[in-house]
Amino acid sequence: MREVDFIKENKEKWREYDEVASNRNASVESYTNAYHDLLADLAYANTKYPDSRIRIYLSNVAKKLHEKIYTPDKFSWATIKRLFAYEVPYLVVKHRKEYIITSVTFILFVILGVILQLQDINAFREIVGNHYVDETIRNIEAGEPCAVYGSSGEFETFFGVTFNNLMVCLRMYASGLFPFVGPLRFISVNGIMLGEFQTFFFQYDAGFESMTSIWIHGSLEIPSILIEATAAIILSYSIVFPGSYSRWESIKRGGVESMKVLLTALPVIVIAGFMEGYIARRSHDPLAVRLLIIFTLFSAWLYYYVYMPFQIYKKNKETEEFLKK
Amino acid sequence: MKKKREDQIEITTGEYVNLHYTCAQPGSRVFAVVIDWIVSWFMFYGVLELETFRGIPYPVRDYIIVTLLVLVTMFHFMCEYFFNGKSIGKMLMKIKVISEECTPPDFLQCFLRFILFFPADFFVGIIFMAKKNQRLGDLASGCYVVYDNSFKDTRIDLDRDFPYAEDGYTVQYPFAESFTKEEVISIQKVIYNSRYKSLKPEMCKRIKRRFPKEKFWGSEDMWLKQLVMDYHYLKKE
Repeated sequence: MREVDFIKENKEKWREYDEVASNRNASVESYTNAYHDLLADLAYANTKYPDSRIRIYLSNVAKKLHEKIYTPDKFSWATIKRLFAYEVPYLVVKHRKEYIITSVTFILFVILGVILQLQDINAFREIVGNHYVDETIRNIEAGEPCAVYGSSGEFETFFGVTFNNLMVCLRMYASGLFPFVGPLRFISVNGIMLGEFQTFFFQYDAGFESMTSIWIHGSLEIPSILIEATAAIILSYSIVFPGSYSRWESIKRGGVESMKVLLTALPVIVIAGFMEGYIARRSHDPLAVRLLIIFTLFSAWLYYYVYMPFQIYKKNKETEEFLKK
Repeated sequence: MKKKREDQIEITTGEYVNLHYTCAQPGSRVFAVVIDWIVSWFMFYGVLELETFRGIPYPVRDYIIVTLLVLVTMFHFMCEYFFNGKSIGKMLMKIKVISEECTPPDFLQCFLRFILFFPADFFVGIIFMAKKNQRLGDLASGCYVVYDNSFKDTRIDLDRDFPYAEDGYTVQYPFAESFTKEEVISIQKVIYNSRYKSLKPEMCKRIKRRFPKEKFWGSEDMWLKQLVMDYHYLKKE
């Protein structure tokens, strides 16, 4: 068929398809029908008239329809629900080895911090500096070991702490670019600091009271550190062990996956910042209330990061076994 | 087989038909970013300058400032997500972000591009990093910045560009039939491809030399286009 005849024959149809492609309210069915028919014409034009401008026209309309059909869903509650109810716990299941390695390493460094502080009472002073330690000792003597949380405004603390934790989060993630050494350094510093910090309070007979204030935000802050470290480890892993992928492809995949894991830490960091800014300072609240808050936050974390992933793991395994049978 | 251009990306559909996109040039991308910065900071300062805003008491004012700051920072990201890969700057520069599947980017891709956006990365990365003008954020999220369909070089109209397929079309230059296919392709390149535009006077001279008895009406562009249309109308199978 001559190009002129081809255009003549199909011109009206293409015009209609162009209108469908520009119409935001057209049905998915009409998009799909137009798309398939147009692709057939484009394939014909590509073969018969490779240097004709009609190819560009058909390709432009096909691209418009392609985008209409394959555009991902925009914001919807169902997407958000799916993200938090399935995708995040699934990521935990998928990277459970990294989570376990990070958690165990962190606990070991916490124990090391406790031992170091027990051996030398000034060990904590070397990490956080004299000013903070002296102020805390004065607060303990005054009977308010965690008065440091009330020393500045609520919003100021919330914003400052959240911003600081976000920066730590990004630094921790970036440390993954130095395979395993970078994340290990962060885990060790934070683990030893936590161990020394808590032991320091016990050495001054304010252990339990300090725990009821510190762990109001610590119950979320510490898990968020573990999540960040896990993301960094995933990134490191993709750099060192590319498997059957090229190293660059492996880094790309590891980057996306680790970023997804890191994203799950963001809400935890913001809530921890809120707790530190607004709740941790309320040391005069009844002990039962403070314990209840800590218990609730810990339970929520355990439910979301241990119980739910375990349920998904169990379900997946059952499905696999069923399919094998 | 035709060689794929370096600045083009190609997607093969389920029907094994390839769709092509042209990657945006660094200049267009830099301008788009600068426009976005200007728009977002104007919005931020505009709200801060509002008289009613000044009267708001201290703690609430701080909350609003922080919320605004977050929104301004996220402005580019939100635009790209909700406007299918186009921010205001990109709309003006007629470019857009697409994924490797040639669809608008999803939430995670937009977020990755946003997180990995640093001025240094943008300006250095865009020039030196990848062959398809991808910066670090584009590489990590698997996205490209391409020219929109409506970009002038690729905008084609059925009525304007193919009048020879209309009933009652009159041929102005019957000798166009004597052109070879290769010659017509060369003429088309000179008319539509900006890279070859400088060759236009030389080409016109040669055509006139070849057909000395013929008369050509209108501008060079007009009669060259007419020649091509007449050729398509007259050519046999």
